[in-house]
Amino acid sequence: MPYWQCYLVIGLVLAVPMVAILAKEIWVSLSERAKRPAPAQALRSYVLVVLVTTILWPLFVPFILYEKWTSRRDEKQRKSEERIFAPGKEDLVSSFTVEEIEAHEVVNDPLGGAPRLPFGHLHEAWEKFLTELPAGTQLWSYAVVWENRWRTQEQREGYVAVVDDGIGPFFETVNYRLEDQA
Amino acid sequence: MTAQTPERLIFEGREHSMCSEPLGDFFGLGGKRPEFRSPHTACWRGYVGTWEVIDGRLYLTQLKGWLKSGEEATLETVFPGYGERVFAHWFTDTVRLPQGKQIKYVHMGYGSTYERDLLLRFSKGELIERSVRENGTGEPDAPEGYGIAALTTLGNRSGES
Repeated sequence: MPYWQCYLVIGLVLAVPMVAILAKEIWVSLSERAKRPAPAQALRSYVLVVLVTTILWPLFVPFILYEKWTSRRDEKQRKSEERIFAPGKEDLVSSFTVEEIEAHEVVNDPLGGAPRLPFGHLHEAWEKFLTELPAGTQLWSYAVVWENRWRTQEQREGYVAVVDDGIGPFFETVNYRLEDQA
Repeated sequence: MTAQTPERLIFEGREHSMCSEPLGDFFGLGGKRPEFRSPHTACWRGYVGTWEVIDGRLYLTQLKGWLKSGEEATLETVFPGYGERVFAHWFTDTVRLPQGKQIKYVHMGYGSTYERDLLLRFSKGELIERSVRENGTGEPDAPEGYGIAALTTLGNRSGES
């Protein structure tokens, strides 16, 4: 294949992402100018983008790479903002046996407003947590100030399963927003 | 969203509107949550609790809830066998009791501002600190105490509204 044909084929291939990148901008721009969607004008613009990119594609390569990089960065940021809380290794405080935790967390209310059991009214949830623990689990307490997706800081504490240096399920006992405190 | 119906808290012999939901924390920490339904847009959580500080401890003493089944929820519904009072041992947070005239009305959540907030801080259900936050002075004709400007009543499957 002659050199100039190879050049145009590469340009044609690169025109596809260029049209994809510019399609929205072109459509919005034309629609705003015409105060209504303008399919014919948009089509002319896309054809122009394909022609220009096919011929002058070396000029557009940095632009396409930049767009790819920013869209990846935005996606990564969006995913990090949607993150769900889980304690990390750096949040571990002390290790305990189940018996030690249960002895420490028995609720004792003089007015009889809670069962005299570990975690009181949350005893059933605790029992369920214990049944879900993988074999060989070591339990640790954790405490961390965590920033949620709305950039609000929360104090979070509880117990977490540690298995083979990995973090497993956790049982939360404290979760409040720091900015609300007296 | 609409401004929300507050919980009620009896503290030192006086009933307050409480712009905090300790029962929400209970459900958030793993407590079983019945299927509540919203009776109106000012109560999306589907229940209103009455709380009381007795001997420095926070108790839930009454609950009126609306269930999807059409039945009414009480303390017994959420805490079987504890229909008289429930010690809020799971609760570690600060509750806000707005006081005085309204300074700014916000028709969302508990967003309105009042002249003062009495803040009670609890750790595992025990009162550990109290403080007052001054927010400013309301207009002479401003309404006194917590209020909701408007709400929309919602029906349920069984036709109740």
